[in-house]
Amino acid sequence: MWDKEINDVARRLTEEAPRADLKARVVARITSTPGQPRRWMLAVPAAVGVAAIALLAWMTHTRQPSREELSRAVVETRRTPMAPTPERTRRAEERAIGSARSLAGRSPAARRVRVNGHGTLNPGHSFALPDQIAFDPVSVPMIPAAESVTTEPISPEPLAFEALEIRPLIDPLLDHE
Amino acid sequence: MTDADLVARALEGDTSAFGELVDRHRSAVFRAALSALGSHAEADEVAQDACVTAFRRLRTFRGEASFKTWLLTIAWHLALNRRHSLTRWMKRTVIPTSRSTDDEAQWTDVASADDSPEQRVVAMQLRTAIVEEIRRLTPTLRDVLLLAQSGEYTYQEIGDMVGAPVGTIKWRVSEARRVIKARLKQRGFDDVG
Repeated sequence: MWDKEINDVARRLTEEAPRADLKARVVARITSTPGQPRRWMLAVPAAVGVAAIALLAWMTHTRQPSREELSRAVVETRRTPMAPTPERTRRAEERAIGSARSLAGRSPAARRVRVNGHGTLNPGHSFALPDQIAFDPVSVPMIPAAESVTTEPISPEPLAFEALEIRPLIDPLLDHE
Repeated sequence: MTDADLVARALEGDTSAFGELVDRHRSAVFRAALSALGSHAEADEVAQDACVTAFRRLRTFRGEASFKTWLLTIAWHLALNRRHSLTRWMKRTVIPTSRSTDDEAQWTDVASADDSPEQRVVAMQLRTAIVEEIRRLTPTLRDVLLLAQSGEYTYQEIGDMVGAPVGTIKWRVSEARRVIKARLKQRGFDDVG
């Protein structure tokens, strides 16, 4: 009942023989490959390197100023004259706009700042502000009062009209006749 | 010299001993790959890869099964991986076409010379239909049928290769035959056996 035909066809489908040089090819490969690193062996250090670079970039980007750096900035601020020059005012405005934009792009948790002087800009990173920042009073020299201004009455002259003298037009070409 | 002796020598770095093992089992490895892939070129590549993989993993061979079974298992898994890749690739790139012309040409020599021209044509058509029905089988049934009919392996070796008990292997072979016969009847072939 077709068993013979089915068995015969199935046998013929796998009846082929391998190439005669299979042994030689295998021996050639196993004798030439021991010292060669495999692909994944090269991929692992490459992946570690990329991860390290990414971590370094992230840490650099999100690093908060240390307490010493903040103190140094305060001292610098004290030393710097506070007179608001136009250039300084422009820089301050630019910094304020930049800070507002960066805060707007962060999550609400990252924007949370506590009122007791301890704040967090990013989750997991915190810093403490000094309790007081003292500024030296700025002494502005008194501006001397200006002398009183005296005004003289204006006496405009009355308007006078003079008669216009109009001379008749004389065209030599027209008066040719 | 037994396979175990050759394995021991290969573990000591004797590549010629491993070459001898390859020579002994290359036909079985190749035909297993051919059963799974159906392509001579693909089966040849898989057979080579299987032998190289076996050499690299030789220290993990514990001798619980025979070296031939262990090597065949490696080859079978590589062949299945290759088949999955090829199937995905074929689905993406190849438009299926009828292979009946090739099949008929393949089976022109199977009929007996004593048969009449009509009988030869019928026998050729029957065998072509059997090839098509074998290809239509599910991979589970087709693999076992081809492995069993190749004559290279015992049922136990087939079971070790595909990871199934011997009873399951025998049932699959029987089921594959039953499905093929049922489909041949549906196609109008007369059962004259």
